[in-house]
Amino acid sequence: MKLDRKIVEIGRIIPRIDAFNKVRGLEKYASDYHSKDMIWVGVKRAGIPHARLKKIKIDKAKHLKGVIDVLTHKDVKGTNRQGVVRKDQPVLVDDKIRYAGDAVALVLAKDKKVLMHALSLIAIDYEPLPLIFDAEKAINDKKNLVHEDNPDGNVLLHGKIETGKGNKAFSECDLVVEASFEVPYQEHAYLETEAGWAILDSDGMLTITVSTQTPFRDRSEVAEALGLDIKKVRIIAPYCGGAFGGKDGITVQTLLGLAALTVPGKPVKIWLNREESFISSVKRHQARLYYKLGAKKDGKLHALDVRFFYDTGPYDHLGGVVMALGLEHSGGPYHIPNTNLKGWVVYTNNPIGGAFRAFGVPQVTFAMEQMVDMVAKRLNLSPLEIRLRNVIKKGDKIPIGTTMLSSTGITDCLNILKQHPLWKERERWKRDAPIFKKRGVGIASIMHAMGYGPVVPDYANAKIELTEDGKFRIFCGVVDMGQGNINSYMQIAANILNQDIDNIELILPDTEKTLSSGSSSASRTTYTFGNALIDASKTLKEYILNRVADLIMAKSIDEFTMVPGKIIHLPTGKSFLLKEITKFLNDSERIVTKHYRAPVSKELVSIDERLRLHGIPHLIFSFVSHLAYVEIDELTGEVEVKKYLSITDSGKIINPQILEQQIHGAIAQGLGYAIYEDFVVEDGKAKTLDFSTYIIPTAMDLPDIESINVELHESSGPFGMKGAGEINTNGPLPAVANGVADALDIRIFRSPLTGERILMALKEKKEMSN
Amino acid sequence: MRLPSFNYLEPITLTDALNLMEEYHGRAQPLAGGTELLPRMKLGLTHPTYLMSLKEIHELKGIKSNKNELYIGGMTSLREIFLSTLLQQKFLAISEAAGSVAAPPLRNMGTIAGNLCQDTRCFFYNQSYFWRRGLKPCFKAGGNVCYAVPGSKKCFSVYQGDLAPALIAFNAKVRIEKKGSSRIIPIEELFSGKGEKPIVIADDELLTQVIVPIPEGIYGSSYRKFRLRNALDYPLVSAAAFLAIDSEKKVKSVKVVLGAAGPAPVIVKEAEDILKGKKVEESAINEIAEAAYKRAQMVDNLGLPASYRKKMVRVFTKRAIENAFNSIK
Amino acid sequence: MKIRFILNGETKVIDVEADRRVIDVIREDLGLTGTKEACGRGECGSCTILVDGSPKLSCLMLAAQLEGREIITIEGIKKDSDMHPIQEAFIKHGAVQCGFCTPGMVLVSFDLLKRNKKPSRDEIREAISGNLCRCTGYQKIVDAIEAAAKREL
Repeated sequence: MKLDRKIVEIGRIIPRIDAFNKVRGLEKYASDYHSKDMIWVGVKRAGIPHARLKKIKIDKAKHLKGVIDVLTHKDVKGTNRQGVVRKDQPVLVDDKIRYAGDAVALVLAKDKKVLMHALSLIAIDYEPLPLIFDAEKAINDKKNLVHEDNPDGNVLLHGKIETGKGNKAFSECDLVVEASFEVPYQEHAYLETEAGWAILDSDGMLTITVSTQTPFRDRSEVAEALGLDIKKVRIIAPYCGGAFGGKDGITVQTLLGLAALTVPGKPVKIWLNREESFISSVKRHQARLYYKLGAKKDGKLHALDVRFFYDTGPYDHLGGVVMALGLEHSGGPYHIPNTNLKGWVVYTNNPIGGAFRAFGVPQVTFAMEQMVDMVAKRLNLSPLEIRLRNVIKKGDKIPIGTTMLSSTGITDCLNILKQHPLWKERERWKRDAPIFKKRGVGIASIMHAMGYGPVVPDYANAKIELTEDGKFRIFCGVVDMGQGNINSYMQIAANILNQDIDNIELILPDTEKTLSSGSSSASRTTYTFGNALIDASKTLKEYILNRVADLIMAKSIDEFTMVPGKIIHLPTGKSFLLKEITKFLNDSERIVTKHYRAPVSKELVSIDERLRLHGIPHLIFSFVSHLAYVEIDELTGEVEVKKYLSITDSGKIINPQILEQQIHGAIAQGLGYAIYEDFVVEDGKAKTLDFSTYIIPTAMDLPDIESINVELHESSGPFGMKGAGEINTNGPLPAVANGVADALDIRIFRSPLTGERILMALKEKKEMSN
Repeated sequence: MRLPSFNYLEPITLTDALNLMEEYHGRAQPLAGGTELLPRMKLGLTHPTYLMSLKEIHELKGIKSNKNELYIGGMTSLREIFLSTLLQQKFLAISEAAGSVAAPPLRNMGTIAGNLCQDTRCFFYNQSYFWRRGLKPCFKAGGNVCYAVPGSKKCFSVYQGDLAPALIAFNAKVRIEKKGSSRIIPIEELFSGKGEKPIVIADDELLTQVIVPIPEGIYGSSYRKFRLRNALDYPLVSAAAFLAIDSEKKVKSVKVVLGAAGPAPVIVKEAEDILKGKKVEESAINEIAEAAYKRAQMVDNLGLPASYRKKMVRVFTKRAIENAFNSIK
Repeated sequence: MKIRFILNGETKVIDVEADRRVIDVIREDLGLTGTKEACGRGECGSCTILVDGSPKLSCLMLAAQLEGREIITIEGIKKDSDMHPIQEAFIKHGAVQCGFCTPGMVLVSFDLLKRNKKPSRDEIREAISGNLCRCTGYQKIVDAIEAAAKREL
């Protein structure tokens, strides 16, 4: 193997450590656990969207040969409730069915064949209830409620923010543009569907190995819902086969726990099939948005009015937080002095809206970035020019009225775009369109917050150990769901300790071994854990050097340098092997734990307490500008993205390859969202339950992407970096929509941008002009 | 997803296979590549008691030709058909159709007989047991309702095979065998036109060979397929065109066939009248496209609205004819 | 029924029910979990294996169809060294993120490079078009295969 993993400078490519096993099929994911004596567990899903539960008939299934047990809510000893913010989702339904994916019963069987048969034998007696499926209408419905105990009826959370003169400022504008927008659900479509493996050992310890982004939070949820002592629950989180927010919170953890409690000593396994995953899992919220944007003649944006409705389905999951982040970003990266922003996130009987990479921001970006283009057009300004005149600079107020205090590279991103050949040569490229094709170029500018916001502590606890054989071992509490943060941690530690990467070991998240460090989400994993790890690594280095200095009676630790595997005393040239030194250190010197909590905004202006609880305002933001070359087939209406450019300010770079992976992946998901992906639900029933109806792009449907990084130094970040995992997801939909508008002079207000919608809009335009 | 239980048969000669077909009359389901049948079994749409794999019957594999005809064994893989230089040179539409099916691994598995004999599909039918639970069975599932066209008296499922339109454009035939006898029919007669049971093959018969007459003179052909992605997807509309011309560039014969436009491939019979004896000009192509548009039977039962798919019939018919013309060397 | 076949160069004789899927036999009975399942219907390519050298989907194959075949899974693709050049290229070029599509991707590229020593980027994209990836946007996978093609294979 010629791959060089020895150079551990920050900013250099270090090939990903996890790839070595993954590429050989040797990495063991949660879904890969298997043993001869294991028990298969399956879930009976409701299949109907809204009903009062009367009776669950399990006798037939229970008596089937090969069935070990059939469990219902009666077998749940704890609260039977789970949820990240509001505990409103039952482990197994006890009173009401609130969506088709609700878990009603659990079957334990000796093999998959018996399991399938048993599940089909369970019958549910229920009384159907009226369906609540339109979020905007459900707000005022006081009679039909998803949760009778919710104080705000069907409204999970409503947020409003007013700045400046609010709507009164529209009278001061020279022009005002209004439009409404709709976006559908987006499904994560991680390739590894929800899976896990659990066992209750003879000491009463329940160990759950599961594909999750949040092992420590899962542990509390499992304990509470099932009525267990938290000390008796252990969660192990291997690498995920993709997650993207969809495994932020409970998927199968409590069900696995419940099953394992029933058969002590025996391993149980759940692995959802694709259809069940699509039916039961959370989605990116479908939304309806109403926008009104006013500007002055000089191109300055002056007033913004926003109302939007996010459909969160039957359970909170993270719906309130998603809505709040949408609200915070609803005016984009622009300085708009007068705003009136209102958001609602609403319970319905549709699939659950929850966390999904970029978390509520793609929806508002679709709207806002088209609004900006519409204003530009009316003012006869180029889309780039209007953005350059309005994007925020450090110290400016963002649309929610708080001050941008982090490094702010959006102007840099746009200036690079301005000088880029793809921008400069766009007119010529458009003119060269082949027959029956029209070409357009669209851009978008975006900001995206990092971390949890002002109230929920955004912390990490890094632990690092000098092992008995002289290597360094990182105990990592944050999951790697595929994004490669693990590798960055190893790179950071190796750099500080001046070691070959091969001298660094890593323990994956395990609630018994590693320390609570929050979720793998919110573009915060490398930032938060990285900062904790830097502190821990530096401290450990100091301990080791101090110990050596004391041992050989050196003047100070400045006389030493650490090199791979050893320490050199510079004045004498003597070297000391780490595997020898380690013998002189006791555990409290060999093992260092450091806590880090991310800084938060101290501003209290215009943000009510509930919104603060749900994460507004943030302190640190990343920025991007995007550009899409789109080509439309005039006869089919189909859009093809021919070239894509992304310019990112996510601070300094730790590993350029891993950063580019995040950029590519986010754009690919964004392009899927822009052109293909539409999770269709009718009357609470999902219609797109496989990869032939819910279509994600293949290798033949995506362009090569060019990515450029601005690399501004973010002073609070580890080595000057800030979050990069989500932001690029936001750009493709508006950039492509703006490209379509540029090519055809039509606006598409509803995504995805299908050929049918484009042909329809062209037809309407033709009819209008006649 | 698991498969329901069945018994497995694996004859190694055609004679054995035909004997088994007779013996298990109606209970033995032939299994070719499995790429279409096994997903249907997983969805619980079909429950064969016996599954008879044809994979080990080597006499059913391979492409041969003589002066007049091309012979493709029923178990020949779509990949082999796609990669055959003979087909690329002389039967372009067939090669293009084979190359447009799904993606490489599926083309390695899928066979020409399996592709031809695939079942019709519908958004409301090709769904799992979980999805269909609580709904009355539709016509195709043996019931008497249609969810695609509420109130209708028949099944509106769609034939989405890629190969059939291209083969029909070349006037291809199929050999159908049963124990002791064999018959050859034009491919269009393989289709009943009924969504409930689209393929007309008796319970004891097997489709063993595809026979394509080698056209004389100067000709071209093309298969154009409309789908959302550039890979994997079934056609939402497709069109195959065959065009033979004389030395003065006047059309000697023309055949245009639509796919995914009803429960069977649709032959646009008007094409012959419109183009025969004339030069290929835009107005005539438009006229054929219009005839195709009228013949296409579209309802809202696939991934896109029927009205849009129907519009695409015009577009893809034109593209197929133009490409066929341009492929004439 | 008793089935005899070659798996990654080793002859295997196993007793299985004919109606089991090949992917289950490989993962559960033989313990090779590198072959992944992500859709179970032939729509994603995660379960790709090589059957007599050509890529096929093990979720659409029956155990009985293993009889007499030579099967290569991701665990068996390495030659003499511990990694095949395609695997090295995937690591070096950052083609691996969550890694769930990786085994299938490596196997279809193996087949491609056997047939076509100098594939264009479009040919590479065509070859992997039946293998869905949700993490990478495919670009680095194409880069890796392109790089692997330029080496001696």
